[in-house]
Amino acid sequence: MRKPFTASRIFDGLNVIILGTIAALMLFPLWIVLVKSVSVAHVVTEGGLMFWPEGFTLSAYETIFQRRNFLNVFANTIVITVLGTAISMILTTCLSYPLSKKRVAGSTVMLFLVFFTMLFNGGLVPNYLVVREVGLLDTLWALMLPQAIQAFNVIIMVSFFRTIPQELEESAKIDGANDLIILFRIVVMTSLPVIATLTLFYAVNQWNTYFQAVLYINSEQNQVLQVLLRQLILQLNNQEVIQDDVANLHQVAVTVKQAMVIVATLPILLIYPFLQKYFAKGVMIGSIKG
Amino acid sequence: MKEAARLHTASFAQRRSGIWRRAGRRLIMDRYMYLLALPGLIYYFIFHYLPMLGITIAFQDYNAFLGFSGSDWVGFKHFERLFSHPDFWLVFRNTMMISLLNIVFFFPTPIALALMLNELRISLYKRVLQTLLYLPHFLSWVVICILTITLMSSTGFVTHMIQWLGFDVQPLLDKSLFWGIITIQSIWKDAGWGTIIFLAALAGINPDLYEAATMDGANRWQQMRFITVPSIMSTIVILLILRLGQILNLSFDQLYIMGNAIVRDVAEVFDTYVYKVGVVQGNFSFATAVGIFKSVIGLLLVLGTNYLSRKTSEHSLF
Repeated sequence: MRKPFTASRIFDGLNVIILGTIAALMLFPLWIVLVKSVSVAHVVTEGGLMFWPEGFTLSAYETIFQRRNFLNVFANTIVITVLGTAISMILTTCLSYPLSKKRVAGSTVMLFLVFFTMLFNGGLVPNYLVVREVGLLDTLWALMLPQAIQAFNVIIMVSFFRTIPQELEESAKIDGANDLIILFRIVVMTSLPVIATLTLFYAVNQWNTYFQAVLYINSEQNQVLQVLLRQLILQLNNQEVIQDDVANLHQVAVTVKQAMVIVATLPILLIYPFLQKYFAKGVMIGSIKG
Repeated sequence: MKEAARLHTASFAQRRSGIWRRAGRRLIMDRYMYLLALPGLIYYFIFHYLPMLGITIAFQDYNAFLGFSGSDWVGFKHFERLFSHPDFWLVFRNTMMISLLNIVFFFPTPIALALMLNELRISLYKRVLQTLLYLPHFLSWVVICILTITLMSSTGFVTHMIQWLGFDVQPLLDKSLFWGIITIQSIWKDAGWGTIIFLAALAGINPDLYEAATMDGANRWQQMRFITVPSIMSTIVILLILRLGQILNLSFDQLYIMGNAIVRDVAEVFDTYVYKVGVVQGNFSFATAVGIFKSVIGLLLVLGTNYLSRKTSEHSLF
């Protein structure tokens, strides 16, 4: 160092502080909601700046779990997340592998057909009519099959497969393994970062399913969590209007809303940090080429 | 090994000439590959390409009882109705305004964040920040809308802060601030996530460039301007092209959930409109026409900007 870089130091200091503040802003709303969800209802209704729970209670969570239909809706959401993600991953992997091999005749055309769906689509109504014609309307399948494969994920996976050294597959081929065995025994095993990443993407998408449920599901017994959550806000907003009359009756409702957010978010918060280290690797390789 | 295979096929081809036979052999050799691709291809046919054929109902008076083949053909009737419909211009304005705000304020944010993260020297701190910045991407719009209401309602945190700072409080969840709040929500949710792709591009820059620049006496600002930013320029351009193609596509979830009777005039966008008119009210043909308008504009924008970008710079998507 020839001279002290003061300007450079100031920049570094500011950078650390500003980024830290921005990151804190990402967590802050969730913290407020968590605080309110375990606080005593009447304190929350009065409002005010709350940074820490006032009077600890889990009654809001009890109310949710006792709510009619909640457990059913929760189970549906788990089904579409687990089964839907499995279907998506199997279809995506099986499609991506042949498309990643340029030697397979037609693979370029097929890859383009996949990519083209990112640029142009039939639109909502034709999609809806197809789902209706296939007979999936108002079943949980409608929340798993119509968006089972996402083109962007195929492109990420194809790019990743292309980075795998050919020698591995070729030596397996000499040993008499066919393409199916090579894919599931060798390629999948060497692609764990991208598989972990895409599994997370699909799983989060399924867990957060809202639009498809609004579109395809009519009956209450097939409903999913996000829709229930939205119904809850609507009810509560209507209640807020008439709050003056029946304030006491609905005080609990305010904390219930907050608790519901935590219930709907917690599974993601629990899984996400463990998979985060993979998707830096997995997405980066795919995204640069894609 | 590859060489051996090629020689093998070559000799084969000599013995039994004919392209068809060779192609047939390759198909048989790769039969498991096609078997693997088959379920995915069926999926794309049913759920993507069949709906593309389905856009023809925009030129019909589609009737569920008569079906696709039985309904009357009406030409461009629905498109004419669309452009003369007062709702259309309202929806068009809202969609464009929200999209433009998004491009102006949202689009540059991940680039700035990525450049800032890239300058961080402490890698543990950087990792923790990244984890936090990516987090909101994984939350659903329903959750984010509840967070917004919690913070911005009349008893919410933001309202209290404004009061505490001594300003008059207007209702924040009103028509006048709606577009702004939508933009802030989008930034909060996805700006951090958007840094991933830029950080990847930044990680790919050859460190020798910086070393050489330091030798030449370039300071950090100059290094950023002449090395870092040009290196990620093609990523920026490609993402901008793709973003422009999405200009009429907004998040249905976000606007449908944030929308209500009070803000309807500023909240109705193409995606929510198509749903309400098409699926809820059952005007399948009319809503499909709206959808086609949206898709065609999107496709033209991608092709157009891609063409312009290829002509004016070396960056393009394809």
